[in-house]
Amino acid sequence: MIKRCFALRCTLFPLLMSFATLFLLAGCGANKPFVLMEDGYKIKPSSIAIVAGDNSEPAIKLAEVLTKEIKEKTAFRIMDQDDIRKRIPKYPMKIETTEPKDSSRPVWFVDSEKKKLDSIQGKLKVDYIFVIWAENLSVQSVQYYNGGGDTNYYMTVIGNLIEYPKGKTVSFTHIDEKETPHLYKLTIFKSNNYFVESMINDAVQRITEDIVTLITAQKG
Amino acid sequence: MYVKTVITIGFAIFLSSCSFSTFNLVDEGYKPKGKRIAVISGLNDDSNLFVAKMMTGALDKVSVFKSLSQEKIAKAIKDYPINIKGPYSAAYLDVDVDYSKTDVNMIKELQRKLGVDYMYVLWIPLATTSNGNVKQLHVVTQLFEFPGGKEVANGRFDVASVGGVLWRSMPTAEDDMKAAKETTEYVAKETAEKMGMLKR
Repeated sequence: MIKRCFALRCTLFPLLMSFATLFLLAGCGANKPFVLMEDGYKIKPSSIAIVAGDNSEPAIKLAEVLTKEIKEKTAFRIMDQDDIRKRIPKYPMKIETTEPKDSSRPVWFVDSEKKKLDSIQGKLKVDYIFVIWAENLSVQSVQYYNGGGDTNYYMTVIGNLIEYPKGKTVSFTHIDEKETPHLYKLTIFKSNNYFVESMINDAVQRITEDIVTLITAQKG
Repeated sequence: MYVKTVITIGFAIFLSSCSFSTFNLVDEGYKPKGKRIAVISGLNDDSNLFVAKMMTGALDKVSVFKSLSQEKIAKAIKDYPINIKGPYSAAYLDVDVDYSKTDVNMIKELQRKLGVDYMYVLWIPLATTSNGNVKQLHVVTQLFEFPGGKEVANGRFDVASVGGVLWRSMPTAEDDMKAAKETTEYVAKETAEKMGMLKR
């Protein structure tokens, strides 16, 4: 299960750490919603299943919302999440992730987990499996000495598209999401879950836009 | 060690007394109609199954319920544990509990394979860490009576394991085990007491 970290207190050390983290995330936040492993690869608008990479709530929600978006905005024949559950009673199941060997073309899953993905595909009989994870979900609150404070929500969305029957990983996804409650947006009294859903929706929009752009460019 | 124990029990007591109940009968004055019970892991992951196993042991220890072992459940239900839609609308950083969301039909289907009087289903949709040394499993439970599959009780509790207090190290597997044992025994006792099934 994904570990979610809360850093909530305000001694000097956590304060400095929070600022350091904020600067790090602000400067290095990844925004690669859908990148092909090989330039020139042609995506076939055929059958696809979005597979949650584990059974954490954010991963499940990502898979659900992405399924809906892809269905609405592309010509893919997409398998519903309920159909996946019917065919695979244990779904969603954990597909272990690892630090990618090639960070410029990341394959997020552990080599040995490929068998699990192949087995999922064998039951779903689709041309593509898009496996997606939500990692590093956290909320960080910083309190200032003048009495003010800031809260930020973070989440990293990662994924890979695998083409079958070759079983070849043809794309990767890497998005660092961040949400901040704002007075002017009237979101300061919203629940923690509201901001997580907002990050999920944003990530899904970005992925879908990239896929649509890519398919449109390939057609043209 | 003493500090950790106090913190762990403190969490359970805090959660039961202040924010939510570990076991709450839907109808006060409910009279139990059988002894056979199965503790079901509502999600297909290790921590869910682990707490289900600990709760089974705890009920055996403190109550007169006859609980089905996790091994027997796994034999009777192919692919157990499976994901059962649970009583929450969202569980990202908080669990938004909604007991009407549960897939009761699936629970009825599983019960047919087990033939027990009660299905005690537990879900851990969220695990958090805080301050670098406290790991919490956020548990939501429902108890269903059979035949019928009526919900007779529900509850919430956290299994909080505490690591190094001075150096804020993460809890070890031993800490997790100890926290789960203490918490499930506490919750099992509450459950048995309110059901009138406490071992004398």
